Amino acid sequence: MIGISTIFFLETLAYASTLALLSLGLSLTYTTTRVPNFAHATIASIGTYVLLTVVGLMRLRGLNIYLYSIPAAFITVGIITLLQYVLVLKPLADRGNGLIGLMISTLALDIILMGVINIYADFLLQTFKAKKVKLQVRDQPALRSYDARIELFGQNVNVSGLVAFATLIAVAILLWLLLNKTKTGIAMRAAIENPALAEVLGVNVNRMYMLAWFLAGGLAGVGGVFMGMVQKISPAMGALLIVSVFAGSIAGGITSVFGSMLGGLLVGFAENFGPYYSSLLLNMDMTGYDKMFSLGIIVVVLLLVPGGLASLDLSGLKKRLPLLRAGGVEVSGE
Amino acid sequence: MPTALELVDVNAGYGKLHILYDISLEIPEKEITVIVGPNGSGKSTLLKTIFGLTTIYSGDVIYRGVNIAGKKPHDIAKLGIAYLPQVGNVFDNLTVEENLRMAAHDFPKTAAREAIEEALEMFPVLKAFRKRKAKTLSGGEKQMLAMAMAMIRKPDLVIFDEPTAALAPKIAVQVLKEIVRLRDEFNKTIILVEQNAKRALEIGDKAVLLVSGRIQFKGGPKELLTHPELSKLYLGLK
Repeated sequence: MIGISTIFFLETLAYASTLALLSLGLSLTYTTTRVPNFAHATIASIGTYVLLTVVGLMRLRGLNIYLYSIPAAFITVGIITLLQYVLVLKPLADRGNGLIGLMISTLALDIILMGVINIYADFLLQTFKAKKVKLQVRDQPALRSYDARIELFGQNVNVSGLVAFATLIAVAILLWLLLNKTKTGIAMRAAIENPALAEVLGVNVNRMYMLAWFLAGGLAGVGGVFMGMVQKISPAMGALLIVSVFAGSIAGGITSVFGSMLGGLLVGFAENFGPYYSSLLLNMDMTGYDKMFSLGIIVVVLLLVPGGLASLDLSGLKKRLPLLRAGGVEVSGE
Repeated sequence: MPTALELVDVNAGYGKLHILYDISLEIPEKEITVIVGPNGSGKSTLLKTIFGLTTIYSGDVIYRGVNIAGKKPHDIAKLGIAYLPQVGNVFDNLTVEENLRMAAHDFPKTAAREAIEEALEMFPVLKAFRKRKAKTLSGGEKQMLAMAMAMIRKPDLVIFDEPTAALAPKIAVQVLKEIVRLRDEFNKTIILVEQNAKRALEIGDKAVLLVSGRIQFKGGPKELLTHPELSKLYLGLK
């Protein structure tokens, strides 16, 4: 790409893939319970602390980091998110709480989790000291120097961007197979679309929602791992990210899981490339204005395509494509 | 006829909103029981109560000797009771085949495939639409799909909530014919709630008139149709 170094592109790719993983999960939970989960990004940062723990205590380097921290983060954060649904949201919803009540409960949980992460960080600090691990638990710079490196276009680069993007693609394929080709997946889509009907057909809708929350949390945890590879690690890092995650979800169409994934990628690239190109263009430093681009995307999408990218009807385009290729003009009447 | 389902002094509603009062009712096996009544009389609530979708304050719902009051809908579905809601009775964003697969979601693979083929034999109109999304079907076709989905689970008792609502009269007659066929050819017990009382009572074996959440009449459909006061007051028949 014009004027962009391979390193910058790969860092952006890692960030954008992280956002895509988070936006996708946010949509998955939103479509089940119809509550925007404001704790989603802080939940992801638990994944970052799983990474920090694994790297520090197991003294991992290179690709081993991903091999251990991705499954660990997926399971840990998946379970925590499942507990959020089972212990907080479900009981509140059963007692008749509406959207506002549930939404505020996710905000409360966000604050609580941030506190818990801080407590854990202190615990980790003691452990690191005792084991002589040279890592910070607050304001630890991204773990770039621990990453594996490869030669790409004549440059020696970190693999985080490539691993993150490959993970995202793998997740997308697996999720598509799960939702379209398995009994559980079809039952989950059914439970999301029409819970009452799914229930009368014998689907345990609550169990499907539990699975959706576990998956969403697990994917957020995986996103958290990549966050730690390209961003400064601190307990409050989720708070900075949540706006971008929502931007990705809304841009993609909040009820569409795959749309949100695309939305997350779009927002991720815009937040990095936007400030870069506008700095060049305006000849001033725009690096602090990254969120302006994600929020700008929300505004533009909501104005032009209120349903998000996923609501774009491409069927008309599909019909026209053969005509365009043939160079013909559409003739009315079939 | 032996009794398939029995409600004993049931009081039910939604949360604190009490809607049904002291409902005692016997549903005879392999017959069509028609429930009629004015708007807001609690007909749909009665069906939902059988299926565990309301709050039951007191009373019993006995199905084959087992009290199912308070059981979860997905557990009741596994006992051989099917319920076709009034609206949203198919998954619009799934294809016809996926809808059918959904209905057979907890069957082993080969059993599911067989059940789907059987259901398609019962409702051959659907064969042409296998790969189409349910939202592209007409109202009548959707109703057929909903029935096929219910039949896949081989229920003994099928509960219909206004299956002809929003259908053209000609299609509505067709749907009711299918319901009669379920009784005559497949020996199903049927509970049918209908807005168009006359049409439904003509095919029913037993009639129940519900007014303001209480049973006003139980007996033969003809008796209700020709009842001098009730038919005029509550069914708009002269």
